[in-house]
Amino acid sequence: MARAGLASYDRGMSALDDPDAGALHRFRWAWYALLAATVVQAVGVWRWFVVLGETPLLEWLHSPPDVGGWGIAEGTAQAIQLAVGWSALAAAAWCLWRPSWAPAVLLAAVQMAIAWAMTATDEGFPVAASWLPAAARRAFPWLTHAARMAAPLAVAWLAWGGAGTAGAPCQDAAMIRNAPWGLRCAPAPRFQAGIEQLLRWALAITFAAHGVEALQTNPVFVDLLLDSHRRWLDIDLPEARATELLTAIGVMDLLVAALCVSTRWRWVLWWMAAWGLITAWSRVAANGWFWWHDAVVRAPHVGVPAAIAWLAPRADTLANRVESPADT
Amino acid sequence: MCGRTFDRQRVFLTLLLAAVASGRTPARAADAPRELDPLAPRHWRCIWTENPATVATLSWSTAAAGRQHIVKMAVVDPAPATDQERQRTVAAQHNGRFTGDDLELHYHHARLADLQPGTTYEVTLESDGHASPPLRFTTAPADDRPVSVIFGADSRSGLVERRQMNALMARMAAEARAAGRPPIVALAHGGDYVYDGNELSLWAQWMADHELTAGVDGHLLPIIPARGNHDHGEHFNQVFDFPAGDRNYYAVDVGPQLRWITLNTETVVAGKQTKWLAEQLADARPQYRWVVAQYHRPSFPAVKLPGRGLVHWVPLFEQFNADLVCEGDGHTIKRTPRLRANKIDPTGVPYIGEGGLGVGQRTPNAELWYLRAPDAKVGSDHHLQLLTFDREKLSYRVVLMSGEVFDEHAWPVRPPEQRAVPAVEEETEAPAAQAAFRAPATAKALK
Ligand SMILES: [Fe+2]
Repeated sequence: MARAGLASYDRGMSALDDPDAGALHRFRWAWYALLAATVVQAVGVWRWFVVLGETPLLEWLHSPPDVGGWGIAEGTAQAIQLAVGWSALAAAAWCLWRPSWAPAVLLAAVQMAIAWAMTATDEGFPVAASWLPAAARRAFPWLTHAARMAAPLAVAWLAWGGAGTAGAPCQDAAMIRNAPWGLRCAPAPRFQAGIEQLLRWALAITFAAHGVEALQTNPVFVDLLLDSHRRWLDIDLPEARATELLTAIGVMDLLVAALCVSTRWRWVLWWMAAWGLITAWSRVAANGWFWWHDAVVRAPHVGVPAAIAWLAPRADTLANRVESPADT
Repeated sequence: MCGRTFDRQRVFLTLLLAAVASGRTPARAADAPRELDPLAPRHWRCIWTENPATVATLSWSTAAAGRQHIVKMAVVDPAPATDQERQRTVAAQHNGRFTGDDLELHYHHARLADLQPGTTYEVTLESDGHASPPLRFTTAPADDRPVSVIFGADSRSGLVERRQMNALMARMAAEARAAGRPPIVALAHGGDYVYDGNELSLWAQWMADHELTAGVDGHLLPIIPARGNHDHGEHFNQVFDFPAGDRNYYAVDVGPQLRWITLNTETVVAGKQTKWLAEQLADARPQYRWVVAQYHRPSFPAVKLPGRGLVHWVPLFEQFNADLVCEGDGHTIKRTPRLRANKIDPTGVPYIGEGGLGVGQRTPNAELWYLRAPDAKVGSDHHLQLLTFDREKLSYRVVLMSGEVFDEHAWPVRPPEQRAVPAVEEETEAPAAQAAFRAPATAKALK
């Protein structure tokens, strides 16, 4: 069957001829979505860290220890920031040239460092939750940044397994050996399912955290709504309407977050991808091209839901996964 | 570096020794062991958020709730004509417990109304009979006399330096009073009082340190507070007696010729606040000789990226010819030239500040088109900005922690045509962030 699948694939026939080939084909799209999200995000990081040069990381490194920082001299901290920014760009190029776990792990680490820095320097959204200690509230960026960390982590995990060195077993190495960017095998369904769960939870957490921000009327979001309406639709949206709209958005965010982890409805994921694109783009729409890095660092908000939509097994493969003794 | 640290310590020690040697204990409750008297008033401060010629809020904290919280006050200067003026008792209208479980602390705010302008009152703050030391405060004048305001921001770290800066303010205010110079009537604080606005213990420390601005004579330095990005949460409103959920933008008259507008970069900028600002400026510009705005995140930053005020507020400042805009957040010293439409323009608006009331200092980007010498002046040191407003000019002086003057400048009063409201409300084109921030074309135009 595998041979036949490869043959039909090689002949450029529709993958629908063979359900397994179709699944592999979709897996490749999932892989590309994650890779693209990771690379585009890294370009945004580069611009932010290298060209603009003012990031939470710098603040964290330079701040004195009494306010959660490292107390590193400003020049040294800036040099580290520059090194991180260039490393992110180099890692992105490496991922494009020959996907590997090493650069992807580095990119995930950069995202974690950003979340950590925002936590340490109190730079995140000041979530109103008086029942939580202030220190726990400062950790909110770990939630809002979950998808941004998960995309490169998933790339690392897939590249590690896909390279056949360790990790995931190959389902059939021959099937996508000739795929661009060198994924030499598609991971076993069970392994794919693991990645899917990681991405689903990261995405749900990201949406839920943004939903909480929206319900708590994050003023930055209100300004995004007001300014993008003004610039693109020439509508002077009253602030009260924007606040109501934001409440509706918050409810929607929480709802799709719940659906993302409780159902396999594919439309939810496409909805999240579309919404991720709109909200990422709103940074540019509202504030102008100067802030394009703000939009592209959110590429995983589009890439992650798209990847899940492609990764999620169809009914037939789901049945296979449950029934196939080979997978147990 | 070591030498500098040593110098700072020496200045601090000198100030402390001077306080002790003067024979009067600095009025500072924080030094007293708290557990001895949970109802002893502490954290005293005077707050100006509403017509300070006749209204002032006196605030303090206690470790226990207590029952009766009052201010006993008497006019001392000018000498009162009647006994009625001599003594007055006002009950604190707003009392409650600061939210948060980490510390039990209760706030008390007495909003004193019907005060006499330009008048000094002696007050004691009392909670269930436990009294503060005698304190004083002076209302804003109603006549057109020269006045000084200290602008400063960013006191969320570097607590030793914060205390030294507070002691410096007290000393400067006392010296101005003694020497008959224009009185330093208020501290306008551009935000970032504490590292995390949700941590009550940090606010408690800030309030304790703020007592040092009162100096050895107990003369309170009224504060005009702006909210910074670290001052999130409800404590800010509880510390400065704003209603719960308040947006914290407001304007006060510091004398009859100075309108001081406080904006909030930490709430919605593009909506009601900007409309309110436009109304304020249109209203104030023809009436006041001086129109000044303050807020936290800079529109023309010396270090960081521009805040949302750049797009929404800067065009209004330019349209209505604001005299000065004070900004915080960058942890550096900054004075831009007068700016208009992304160019240096003698009719434009100057931006100062960036915050030095304790925080470690950054290196300003002196290559930015609006920060280049000789038109601009930037630096890195703990500092405050002393602004003196008289009939002819607005004088600006940057005073470092050592007492040394780092920068001095003056802007003449605007000619009448610049103080009239523009006949046609023609909005200046909103400068895009990149144009204001790093526009090669604009930079070239400056050469
Ligand atoms: Fe700040």
